[in-house]
Amino acid sequence: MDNGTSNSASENETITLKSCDGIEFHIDARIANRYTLLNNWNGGESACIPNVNGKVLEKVLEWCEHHINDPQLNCGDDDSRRRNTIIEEWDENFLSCDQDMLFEIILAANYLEIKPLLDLGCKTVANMMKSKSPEEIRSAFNIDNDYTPEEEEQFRKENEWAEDY
Amino acid sequence: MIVLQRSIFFLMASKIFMGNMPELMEKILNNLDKEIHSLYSCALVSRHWCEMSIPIIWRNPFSDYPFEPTFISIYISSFEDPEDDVKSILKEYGININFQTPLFRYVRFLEILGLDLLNSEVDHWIRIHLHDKEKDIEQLKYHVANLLLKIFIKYGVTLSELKLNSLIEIKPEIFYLLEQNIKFFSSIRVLYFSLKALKEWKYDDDFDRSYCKVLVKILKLLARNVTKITNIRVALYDSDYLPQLCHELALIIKSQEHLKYFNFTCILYSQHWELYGIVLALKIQKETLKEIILEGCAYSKGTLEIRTSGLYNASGVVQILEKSGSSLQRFKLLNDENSYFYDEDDEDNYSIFKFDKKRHLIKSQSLLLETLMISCPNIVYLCILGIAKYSTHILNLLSSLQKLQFLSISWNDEFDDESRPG
Repeated sequence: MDNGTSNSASENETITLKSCDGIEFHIDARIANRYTLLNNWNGGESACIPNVNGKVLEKVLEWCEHHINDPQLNCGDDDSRRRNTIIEEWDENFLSCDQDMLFEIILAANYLEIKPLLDLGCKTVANMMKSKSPEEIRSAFNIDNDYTPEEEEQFRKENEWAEDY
Repeated sequence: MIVLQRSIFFLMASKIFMGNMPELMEKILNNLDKEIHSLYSCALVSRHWCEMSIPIIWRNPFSDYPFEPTFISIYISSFEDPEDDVKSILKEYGININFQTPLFRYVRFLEILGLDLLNSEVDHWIRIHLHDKEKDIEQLKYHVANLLLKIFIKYGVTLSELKLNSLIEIKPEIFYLLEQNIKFFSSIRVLYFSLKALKEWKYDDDFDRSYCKVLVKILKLLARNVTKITNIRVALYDSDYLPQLCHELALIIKSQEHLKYFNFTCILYSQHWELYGIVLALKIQKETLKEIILEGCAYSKGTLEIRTSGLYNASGVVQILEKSGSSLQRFKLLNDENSYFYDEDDEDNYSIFKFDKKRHLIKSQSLLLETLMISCPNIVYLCILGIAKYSTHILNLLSSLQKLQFLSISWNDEFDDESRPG
């Protein structure tokens, strides 16, 4: 049965990617085959991936390498059947990095269209918000409260059912 | 150095959380769609966070949680229609709510609607606001539930998920509005419908007639206007309306462009099971279907016979066993994956659908055997044919059935890749 992992590249084939700060990575061509945008940058000396530095690209490629045999999901798959905030142990350890790196990985995954890594990063950030008070969330992400007291009071009144959920 | 690191982190986080990348923020918050209390906190962080969180909070407010459904007051307060007299009817019942204009038109965020929950939440809402607790509220429930449907349709709600597990009496004007506003149904991805009797395990002629008539009308509307359903889950029992319901269901199946999951359970009171065109409709959708579950249960006088085809999930059977298992004496399960797909004039059969059967079957089997063990101590006759594989659950079940006299059991070698006991 086809598990969706078949790639045209062979196991020994490698390609070269270069980060925006000039660091080169020689990676298994099957990784690039899975993610179209990575494949587009397979250009050796001259081509480099803008917006993603070597430190972040190294982490992104580490994740891709670990998940090289995962079944590929179709774009049209129903999201709601899969959505939950459970994260596998390896991925959890992988993203137990500095929070600035976590956000850089999310932005890179978004830029490079690596959807499973993007989903994982978003789940991790969502878990950081779980069961937190508004003040705790503001403090964690440095957000200013721009509500007027009247607005806040009306919001609380209209959404009191959600507070009890 | 630490200060610098915090600054970089806030810079990265602010790209997402200050409004520059709303699609990423939405993706993050969507992970909390089952954590409404956490989303409530997010909405209170700032105005931008509020705008991002509110659509998710209000996507599916109807639930069976016991909190006060104050969102119904908000829906009603957003509606102004001089021709609608429900607000004056509410006053007649002594319900006076201070209808203040809300911050948002929350109704436009509604995406998931279950008519059973709409019904129960309306009941809950009325009982909270009613001063005379002895007053009969059936008429008021009818008016309020229909008013809510009217608000949803008129304000352009586009549902993604519809659950018709129980129906209220629906006013003719609502059907007229539905005909005029096909947007309400046109984006439905997930459709559930079942007869409540499946849960209640009783047969009621009046319930059957009134429910089925409304259900048939809605299914006709869906068949004409909906093409994007990916997931259909249906639970029925045999009644005079079964052929008509199955016919409408077949039409819905045929008109979908990307149907992937189909789950059909039917409780029968006779041994005869006819699927009225559903199998043919499924064959038409064979390119997109990823999972088919068909399950028929015939129950009478302490005997439960189940015929399954495809990837049965046992949920319907488990419901029955948990409810009536102690009186059950005879249990028969026949799993024949081709029984409903076989057609002498057609070489196609169930094998045209290529699914990962093993995982589903083994999971269902474990659930079924465990439920039999816990809920059915009085079984005398046990026949289980064509189950997925040998497991220790079988031995455990047999040792727990103290009254067992007749046993017939077989499993499928195809899946038996683990070592068997000596």
